[in-house]
Amino acid sequence: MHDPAGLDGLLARVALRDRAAFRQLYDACAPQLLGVALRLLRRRDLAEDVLQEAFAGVWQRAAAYRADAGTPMAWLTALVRNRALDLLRAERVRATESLDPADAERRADERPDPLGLLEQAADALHLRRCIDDIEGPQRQCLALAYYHGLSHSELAAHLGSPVGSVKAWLRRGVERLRRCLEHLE
Amino acid sequence: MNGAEHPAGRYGNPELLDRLAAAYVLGTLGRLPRRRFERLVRSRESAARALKKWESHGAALAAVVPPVQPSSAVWRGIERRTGLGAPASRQWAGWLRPALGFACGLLLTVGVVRLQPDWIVSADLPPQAVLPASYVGLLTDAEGRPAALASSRRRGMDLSVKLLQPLAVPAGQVAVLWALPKGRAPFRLGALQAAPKQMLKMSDSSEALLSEVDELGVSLEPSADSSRPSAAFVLRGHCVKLW
Repeated sequence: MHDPAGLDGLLARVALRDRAAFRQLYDACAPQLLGVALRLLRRRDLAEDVLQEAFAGVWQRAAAYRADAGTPMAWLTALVRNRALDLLRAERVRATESLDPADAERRADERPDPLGLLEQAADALHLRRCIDDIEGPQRQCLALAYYHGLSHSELAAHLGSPVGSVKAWLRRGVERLRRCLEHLE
Repeated sequence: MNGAEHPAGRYGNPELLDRLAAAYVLGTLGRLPRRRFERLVRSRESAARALKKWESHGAALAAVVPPVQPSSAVWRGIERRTGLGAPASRQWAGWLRPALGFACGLLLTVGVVRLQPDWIVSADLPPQAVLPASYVGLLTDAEGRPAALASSRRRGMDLSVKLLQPLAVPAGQVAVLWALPKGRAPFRLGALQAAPKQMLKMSDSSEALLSEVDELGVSLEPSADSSRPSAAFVLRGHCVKLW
């Protein structure tokens, strides 16, 4: 996707307070990261807030990034996802979701759906067969949890299943996905 | 690995750590278990490693999400939050205030020197008896408290360092002071001792070494001779040329 070496260099320059490098890093990564945050939060204002906070954090803490700690994109994705998930879990942002006038438009932007994304990721990682082997409900729970950040109770409501079943599907699904992704190393 | 080799309880089990890291990254942990796992990552290298592995898996899953162009307000907000978009004086405000008294004194002297250069040029006194520091750096700790002051005369090869608060250096490590030139790799200025006031010998004059340096940093290194910083800066701050 992004050239990890290029981002590494940019991040090193950001740690040295190079503003131009900071802007380049933002231009290279922000759209992808906003896509991720928007899927989770489903509100553009909140997603943009999270992106802004994350990048302000990057400027303050770029020196703390260590190249042995994974790729810059992995670090940035984790920064954005963690903030978005904390926000999702801390506030009932979903409750206000349907009041958002851009709702309909947003839904139209939500293609592919979470399962479609998981399939695409599986193809990109050459893990399609392994991931297709995960049972339907488990796979659906995983995709909704990862891409849309649905909690146990939200998954239960969405799928019309008891929370207990959702928890079991997720536990087994994560375990199966974990085994699939282990092949990547 | 055998469970008996991990006396530190159930978190010594790599399988469990891996499972927790996976659930953390996939977002299926609740709020409290998330906090617990974050604490674990801070305290255990093995948990941090498991998390890093899953963060890269997570990034691979996230890479297929279609990008969305942020509005221009996002970058403006980032500039505002980091002080990057503000005029220079705003960025200075944070660190300048504590140094203000010090700098005013210097500027007054500078003013005198500028107005009456003959006093120095023709004086029999050695120049360092009269000239004020030309390069000054104020380093702050992670909380933004002033922690060290570095200063040097323009043509001097000595860098005077004053520690404004004790510097905690773990046994077996050395605090090393680095110059961070704009757009280039940091270079070593010298190792710091515990003494509140100390003098570092530089390899060249401050004019030659520091004219393009806009920041100084201190990191904790395994050896006093490290040629590149290997750890994050524990102290860091701007370095300015006063005259």
